[in-house]
Amino acid sequence: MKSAAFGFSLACLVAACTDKPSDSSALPESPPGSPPEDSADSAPKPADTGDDADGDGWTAADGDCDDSDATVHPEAAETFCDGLDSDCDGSGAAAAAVYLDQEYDSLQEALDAAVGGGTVQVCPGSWTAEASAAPVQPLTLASWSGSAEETVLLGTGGDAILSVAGAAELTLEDLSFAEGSGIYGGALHIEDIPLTARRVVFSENWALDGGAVCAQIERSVETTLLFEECFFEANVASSDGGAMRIGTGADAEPTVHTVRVVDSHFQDNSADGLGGACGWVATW
Amino acid sequence: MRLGGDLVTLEIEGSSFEGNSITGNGGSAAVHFSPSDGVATIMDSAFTGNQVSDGYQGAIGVSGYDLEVQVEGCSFRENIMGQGGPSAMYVFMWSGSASFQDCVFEGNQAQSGTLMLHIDDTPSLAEFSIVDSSFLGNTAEESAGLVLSSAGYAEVRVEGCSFEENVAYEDFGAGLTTSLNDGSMEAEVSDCIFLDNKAENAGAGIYASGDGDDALTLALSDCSFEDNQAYNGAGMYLDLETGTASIMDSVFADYYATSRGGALSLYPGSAEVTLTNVEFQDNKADTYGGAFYVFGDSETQDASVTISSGSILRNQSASGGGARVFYARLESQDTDWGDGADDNEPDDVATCKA
Repeated sequence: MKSAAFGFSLACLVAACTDKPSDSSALPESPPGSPPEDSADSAPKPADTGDDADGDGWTAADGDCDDSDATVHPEAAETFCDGLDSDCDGSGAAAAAVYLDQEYDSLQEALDAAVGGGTVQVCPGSWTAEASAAPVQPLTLASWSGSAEETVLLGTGGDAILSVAGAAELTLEDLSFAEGSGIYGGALHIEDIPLTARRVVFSENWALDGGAVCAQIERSVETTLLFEECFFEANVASSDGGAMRIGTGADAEPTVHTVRVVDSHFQDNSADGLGGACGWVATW
Repeated sequence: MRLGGDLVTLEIEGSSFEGNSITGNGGSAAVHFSPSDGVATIMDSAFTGNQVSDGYQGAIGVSGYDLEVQVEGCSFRENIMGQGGPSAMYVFMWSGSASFQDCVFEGNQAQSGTLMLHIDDTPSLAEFSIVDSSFLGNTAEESAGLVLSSAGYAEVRVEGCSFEENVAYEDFGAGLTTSLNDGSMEAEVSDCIFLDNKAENAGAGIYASGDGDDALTLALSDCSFEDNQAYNGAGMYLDLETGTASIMDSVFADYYATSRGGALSLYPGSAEVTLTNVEFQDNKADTYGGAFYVFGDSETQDASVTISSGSILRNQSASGGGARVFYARLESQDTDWGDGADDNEPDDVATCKA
């Protein structure tokens, strides 16, 4: 279940990241009170070792990493992407992404875990990333909140924000990619992989080819790239494809490949070569 | 026939491209698509204010060996091509088809052309159709509106289109231009409106030309031409070496040529030109041919222009208020050359033969 608490700022997320875990030595040493109703019911309750300021039945000595918040203790249910380490397991206070039922501090960690495919959800906030993946099964990368505006992946100044290669599908939903840079695709670089991008914003990315997106399709399998309700703004390519560059061909067998752009908007993108917004250059 | 590579399909639907640009010497400010064999389908999309400063191909450039291009319900507005090719879209193919329906081309600026469709040197056929589309207020040094170009063999249909207020401010062809370069073309233009276009040189409404042995077969029907202005052939400038041209069921009114051919200037070469049920009214040329001007091949003198079932009324020029004919045969059948208040001034026809 998704958390409703998405309104916090990037500053809050960063602060939470640098501050975790909480400092137990600063907490009072008083007996714990009664555990909350939503805590795990079968686990044996630890012995009292100090004060329980928030009355959740857990003290700092018991492992309560925030004794000022009764919803935080070792047996609390973790709420993903809320900026809190609710179950005091050392993760979650600054989780960048969630894969299956675990939070990860970085997108790369979550993608590494998702090598078998599945859905990685990015927590609200602005996250610096230079991640890569080679999933063997379809992979979905989506925002946790369903809002591209609240979920921003920022470039590091190195290579593309996200690079994906392999035979499986990639789906992107409700995300923003901004200020990425690279040789091929400042935001997204994909090779031989079908792509579906829905409600994705690409802004102010830069690359030699494909300012925001660079896709190279050389496999002999029919491949479709779909961009639906996407927004490309102020992306720049030094060569071809200010917003996106698609390259096809050079495969052994002539193959049908499709690029679909539906209900999308391209504004103020530029290139030095071909395709200020979109460039599809096929080798033949 | 394919030269290699993949068969690729580009589909754009319900999208907008605004303010995109080429900053170097490349081309295609919004979309560039260059497969070997490809299908491009662009539907219900808008291309506005895209700019190429110094390159080629304006907002969209599509080039390939065998293409199927379909553009429907799209608008192209205020796109700018600083140097080189057309401002809105350029399609270059060796074979295939390109069709445009319900499109608007408005306020685009280029050195040459707004929409240009070209088939290159090939024995294959290209089919171009432009239906129910409008070209409004586009400007270029030459060929300000629709440009149809053939170095191969093209079949063209232009139907239900309007060409209004386009300006070729340095040379020819404000509305529709056909250009042959060692190629041939069969073009049907019907139910079109040419209004208030202006060419500094020739052919404000239509400029059609062919060189050498190129053959242009042009059939023009049910069109109206009004208030266009040029130096030579304000309504239409037709320069043929071979081939045929027929104009049927059309009206040329209120044209003004600062030199010759108030409505039409015809350079038929050895071609045959027929005008059937065509009305010329109130056209004016300062020098020759208030309604139309014909200049044939001075050596062969075998060009012929036949006008039948038409009317040529109230046209004016210094010489040949109705028509001025050099080195060609003019035949008139069942045609009203005006009388009294409808007479052409100072005369109906002035001729010159060697």
